Amino acid sequence: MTRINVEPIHILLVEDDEADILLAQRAFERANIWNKIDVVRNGQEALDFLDNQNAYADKAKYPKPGVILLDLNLPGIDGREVLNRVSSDPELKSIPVVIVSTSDYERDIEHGRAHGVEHYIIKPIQVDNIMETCSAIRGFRIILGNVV
Amino acid sequence: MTMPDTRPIIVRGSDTRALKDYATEHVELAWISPFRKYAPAVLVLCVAALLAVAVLLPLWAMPECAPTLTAKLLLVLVYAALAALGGYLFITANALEQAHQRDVESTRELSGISERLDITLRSIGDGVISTDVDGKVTLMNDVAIDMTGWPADRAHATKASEVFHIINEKTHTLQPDPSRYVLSSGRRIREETQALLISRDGTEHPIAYNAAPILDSEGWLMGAVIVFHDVTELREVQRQREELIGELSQTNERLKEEIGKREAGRRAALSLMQDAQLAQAELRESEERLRVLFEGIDDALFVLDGAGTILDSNQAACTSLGYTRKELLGMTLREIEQADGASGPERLYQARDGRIIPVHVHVSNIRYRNQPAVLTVARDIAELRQIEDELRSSNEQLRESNAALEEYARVASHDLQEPLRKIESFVQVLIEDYADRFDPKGRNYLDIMVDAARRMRRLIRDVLAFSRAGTAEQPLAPVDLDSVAKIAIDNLSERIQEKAAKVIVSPLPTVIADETQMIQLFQNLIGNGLKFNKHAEPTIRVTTKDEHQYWRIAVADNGIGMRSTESHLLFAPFKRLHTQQEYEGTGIGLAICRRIVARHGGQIGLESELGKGSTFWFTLPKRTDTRIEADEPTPGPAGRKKGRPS
Repeated sequence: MTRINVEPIHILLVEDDEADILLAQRAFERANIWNKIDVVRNGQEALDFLDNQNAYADKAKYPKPGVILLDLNLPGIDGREVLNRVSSDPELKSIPVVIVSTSDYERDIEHGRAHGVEHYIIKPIQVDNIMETCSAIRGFRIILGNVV
Repeated sequence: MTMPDTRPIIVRGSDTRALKDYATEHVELAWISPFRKYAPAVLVLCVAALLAVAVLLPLWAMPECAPTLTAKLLLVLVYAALAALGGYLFITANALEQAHQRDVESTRELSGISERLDITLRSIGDGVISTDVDGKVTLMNDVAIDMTGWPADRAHATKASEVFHIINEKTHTLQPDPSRYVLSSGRRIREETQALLISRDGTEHPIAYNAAPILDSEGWLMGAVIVFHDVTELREVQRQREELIGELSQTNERLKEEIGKREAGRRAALSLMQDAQLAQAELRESEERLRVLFEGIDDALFVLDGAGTILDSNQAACTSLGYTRKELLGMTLREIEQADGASGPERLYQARDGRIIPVHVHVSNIRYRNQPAVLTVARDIAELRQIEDELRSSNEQLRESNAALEEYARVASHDLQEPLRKIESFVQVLIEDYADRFDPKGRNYLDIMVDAARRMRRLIRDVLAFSRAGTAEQPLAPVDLDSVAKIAIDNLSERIQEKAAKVIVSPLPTVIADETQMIQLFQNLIGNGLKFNKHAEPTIRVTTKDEHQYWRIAVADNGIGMRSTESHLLFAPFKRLHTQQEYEGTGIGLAICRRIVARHGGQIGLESELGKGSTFWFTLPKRTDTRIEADEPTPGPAGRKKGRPS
């Protein structure tokens, strides 16, 4: 098998709910998407990760993600703040954001639109919505596993 | 004895008496009556006889000279005769002398009179003709000559009837000469008689005449005199007078008419006056009633003149402001009214004790004691204000609690959904990943869990929808209900096809509404008609009726219907008439419909008969403004229950 993997695209999942993290990981697995998924559990961690600060200072270990899956409802610094930061930072601006929303998706979509967000997933993250979204993101190179 | 003039003296009217007196006095000796003629002679004879007797009687007695009786007697007679003759001659000569003297005087006088009479006759305006006893003209004056056209010399001794030729004015028949009547009857014609005098040359003169006999001093008829005058001028005057009279009578008529009118007017005025009196009595009565009203009314009343001075006020005004009526009269309303407190009809009055009273005034122009005035009705709205404030604050509270409740419902349902979603997700995971490890019984349990979770999710979703139905999600805008119905039917297309149902929509109006909610409303009602329908050919008809201020839209189905006793339950949230097994659902649909309709200011209701289908109807006001109604739902036919989930 030959794969050209110039710069592997990492996925940053910002989610505080363990069950949702579990479901998301399962969905990616079942969708056969094997890009590395870094998980942060609140807004502060997300910002640290993106800035390579504190626990995430190691740039090699925690490179800039290729896609951010962002739950807007987070404890502490919430997803909206993170989104504001990403959309206003010239370095981060180019990273596609997928808003992972709940039953209150209408408000989230409204907020996302204002920040140029194009992709939305309504929980639970499942195989079909993950696949649909990933294929819609331009420049998202999917790392497929178990392909012989 | 001769008359100074042979012509008879003719005078008119009152002169006659004077003439007679004159004649009696001066002319009586010229016309000695037989008695008077011989009376002196008899007297003289008697005297002579007495003298003779007196002379001769003594002689007679002497016997020496006694002649014969006859000679004696003869002698006596001779003496007597001589004496009588002598006496008579003496007296007569005397009388004649005297008479002559008088005659000379009287002739002189008479000629003067005659002259004057002549002048008078000539100069008077009347024509005078006198006749002798034979009716022959003896005298005419100039006027008579002019009018008759007979010269005096020709007329003289001509029959008066020829000269004085008169005819009846009207009949033009010959009228007898008045002198003839006078001469034959000896009476005068007292009344002036009118006739036409035909002159000798045929000219006609309207005249008036009368005639009188001429008597001598002894009363003997001497002739007649006709006096006449031209009445042309008189006629003219008369005509004018008649004209004048005519005019006058016309004027009189007019006046009479006028007077009649005035009389009628007066009578009308009188009756008006009577009416007015009656009206006044009524007025007085109504005034009393008004006064009672004026005093009895709770609002403060002020009657103001043009300058705002209080002319009258009622008890309520005194009571509320704390002034006596005496004090109020003469004050101006400006003294009472707070200048800065005015806003439209609402003013602030200050009572005597400084208390500020909010009032609502109504001002109208009236007449008071016959003068233009202003009636100000001031209603104390302090209480109203308080109630309003209370209402406002309780409304505010209600709105707040509503909002809180809605937010609570929204958050709760959201938070409820999360764990539920997880249950669903992980049951799904279990089924997907561990299906082979469950026996059929276990898998059945998992199915039950999935089903329950799905129902729970739906309930939550409906609660959310219900809480949203009352809130203003979107501003109201013109919405074409035709396209709304189309979208609703589109959304239901799967179920419609499944049931092979027909949905017939007659043209619908455009209303000011929230489009999303309208879609939901139509979808719920049409969906309802589909759901509770076991008809072989389920049919749903949507119709519109124009009810002036409202559109009434009806959604009629041929479904199972219901008892009318049950229908009132339907619009309460989570009320269901059927088991989940019969018809699935949460029972929130119609509650949502009611909230939507209420939010749009309409009403919703239902007419139904068990087994024969139901007709759901709702009304939407024909409004043009896009103002959003208060959250408070208006009461629908289902009652004044608040459509809140409990």
